[in-house]
Amino acid sequence: MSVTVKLPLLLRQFATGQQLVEVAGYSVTECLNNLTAQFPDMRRWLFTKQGEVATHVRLFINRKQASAAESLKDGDELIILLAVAGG
Amino acid sequence: MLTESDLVRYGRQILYPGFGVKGQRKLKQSHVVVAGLGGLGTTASVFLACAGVGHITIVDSDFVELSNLNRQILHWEQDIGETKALSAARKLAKLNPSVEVTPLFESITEDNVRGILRGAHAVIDGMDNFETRFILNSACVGAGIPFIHAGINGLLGEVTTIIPGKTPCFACIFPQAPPEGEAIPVFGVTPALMAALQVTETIKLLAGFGDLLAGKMLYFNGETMEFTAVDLVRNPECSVCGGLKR
Repeated sequence: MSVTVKLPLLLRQFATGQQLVEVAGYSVTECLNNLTAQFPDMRRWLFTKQGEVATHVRLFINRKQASAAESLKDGDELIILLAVAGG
Repeated sequence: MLTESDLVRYGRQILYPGFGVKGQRKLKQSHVVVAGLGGLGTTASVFLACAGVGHITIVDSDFVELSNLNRQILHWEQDIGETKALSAARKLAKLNPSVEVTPLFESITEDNVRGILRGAHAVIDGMDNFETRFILNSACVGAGIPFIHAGINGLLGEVTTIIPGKTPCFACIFPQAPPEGEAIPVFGVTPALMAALQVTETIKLLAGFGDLLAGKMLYFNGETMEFTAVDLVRNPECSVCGGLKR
């Protein structure tokens, strides 16, 4: 059971430049935990110190906005985007 | 009413099917607020003025600095030290004297936002911080004014059109502000591109044609030249718009 995680540009540097990473996980949170276990330097961008998914992280399952609690199916695409504040 | 000069000046866009003289007249009768005169707001103001939006209010509380000039196209070297509002208003008046431009040199706060937005048909987000975006969003939702959001960082950009009562609002999308640090990296082309998309949305919204990025966020990655559109969902618990009917 794996999903394809599409990383934003900022996070690709922590995944040896990869844009797409195959990660196991039955929920978004589990998937992100597995992702950051594989690439620990990414963790501070995705999680708060309390271990919750940070609110500036935008998650989309198959291009539809999703929350960290949602479940995943084999073959789903999980897109991670980070909010951009500049103007 | 459109003048003979208007028909010539805007002739090439009047030719656009579904827009025409009727669409141009709607633009002329419209009032758009551009909140912030940085990379997004300066470019957006230029295209609003070029398109013939009748009244443009431009708001910024900063002064022009040398480090602005790689992206804030209405501010030039001679304007360093000038308020951004007046620097921009002077250029817009020369670009299209038939458009009314109201420059406001002030910070947008919870106390003055309703006055600034009064009578506006749309608000363009040219801010560089989330705090003011939240203030604008709440005021737009309260007054039923569409809010055309964009944000940028480096070669990344995002844009969406928020229509109160119909689409997720800014607070649905971002319940809390992300951490904000020091100056962010940015090439001038990123806000220019996002601002052009904001004005595209504004023209369609005001004139009433085409499809909008309503309930969708369009993301741009200039390094890989990817555009990605994703569906946004409204938060029924949203403290700003949660009570509004769809």
